[in-house]
Amino acid sequence: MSKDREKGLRYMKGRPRKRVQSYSSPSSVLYYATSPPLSVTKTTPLSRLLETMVARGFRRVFVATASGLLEGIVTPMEIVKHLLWKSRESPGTPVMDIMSTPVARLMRKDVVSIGPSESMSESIILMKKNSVNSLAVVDKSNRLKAVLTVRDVLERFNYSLESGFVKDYMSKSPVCISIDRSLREGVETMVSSGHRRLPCLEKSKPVGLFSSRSIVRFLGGREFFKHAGETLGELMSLSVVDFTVRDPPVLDPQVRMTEAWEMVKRSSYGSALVVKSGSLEGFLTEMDFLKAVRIGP
Amino acid sequence: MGLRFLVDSMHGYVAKWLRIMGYDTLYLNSVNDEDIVQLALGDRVLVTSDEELAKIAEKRGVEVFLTKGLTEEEVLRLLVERFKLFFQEDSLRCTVCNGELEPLPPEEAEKNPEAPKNVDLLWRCKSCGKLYWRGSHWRNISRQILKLTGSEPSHA
Repeated sequence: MSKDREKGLRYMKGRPRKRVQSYSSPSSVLYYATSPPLSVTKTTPLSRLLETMVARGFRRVFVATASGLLEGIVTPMEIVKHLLWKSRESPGTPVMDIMSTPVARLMRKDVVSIGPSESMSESIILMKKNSVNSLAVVDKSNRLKAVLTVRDVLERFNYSLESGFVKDYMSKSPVCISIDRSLREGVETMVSSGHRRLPCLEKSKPVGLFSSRSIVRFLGGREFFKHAGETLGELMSLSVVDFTVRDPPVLDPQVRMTEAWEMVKRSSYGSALVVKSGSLEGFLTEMDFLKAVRIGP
Repeated sequence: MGLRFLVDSMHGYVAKWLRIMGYDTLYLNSVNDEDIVQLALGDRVLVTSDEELAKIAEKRGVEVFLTKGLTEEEVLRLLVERFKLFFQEDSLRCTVCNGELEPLPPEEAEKNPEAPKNVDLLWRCKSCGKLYWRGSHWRNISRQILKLTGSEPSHA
């Protein structure tokens, strides 16, 4: 390898969200995965984690040892759960107290992972089987190499989307939440249903999206400091409306999946409300797009 | 606050009837054991057929109703007996999403294309917008509630 090339690679190393394309075959997972993935250590406090998530726009953060061995994953859902459990145990705790919680107390250890030279169709099968929207790409010694998200897969396979319509793939009666509910009720619904995004309704009209990510944005954002002096109990009794994003993509049920993907891809949400003449017909997420991907001949 | 329930994914029928009777009931969908215990902790009765989960939950102080070897009908009957459940006229819930129901004003009912004609009373779920009314199915519901609780809901 020439000197210049080496220099170039070293230069690449420090830059986030750039694909390492130099030495992987185009059909392997590593070619499409994002590397290096964002990772923190077990001792990182929640405040720092939130900062990283919000400032850099990452939804999932891996937990790894200093030498790069994969230990777990933290997503907004884990943070939201921790908030709910803590507010149950001791509602009088000041909100600021939980900000020092180490990542080790939040993380989930069951990370679904894949080898770097596996094929992309294998990654789809794994995602569907475990119903996860990302895979950790690890080498034989469990060292974290990259992250492959459902978005990466769909970008690769967007020409293989079935020609079906949104109405055939959407979930028809999605779990929703009314805008006047409390944050506690919203989070309870989220955790028990296993959905991290809930369409939000006001007088039975869809108005937005209530998601674990919007809660994390709130916790890591400026708005949070207005509530910094409160207790957890007080925080959890805020209304869902404060955590609802008002502009998620909206689709008609008669739109083709390929067009729908173009729309969803451009937005930062990865899901869309399916609305027909003002009322909610269904909900479409990245996982539904994955169902529409045709693998093989 | 009244009794609240947490029903595992094996008992959709039980969850539905608890909601019809007006009890705040969370129905679990692929949630791991730790989260189930945490969700129940403090203020919910856990209804499950999973013995191991029941053991863990009881140790942590959750009130558990173990349903192993019982049919859905029996579970419901035993729950009513043990917790003295009754039909709560003033707190109606959506059987799909557990949202509270609110009466729909007649002028809105007229505008709504999904609403059936010649029905006086309509309710709407605050969370998912599903409409409810007392049609011919109401006869079966009130019969079931009579069977379970020994008293029929009023027909107002």
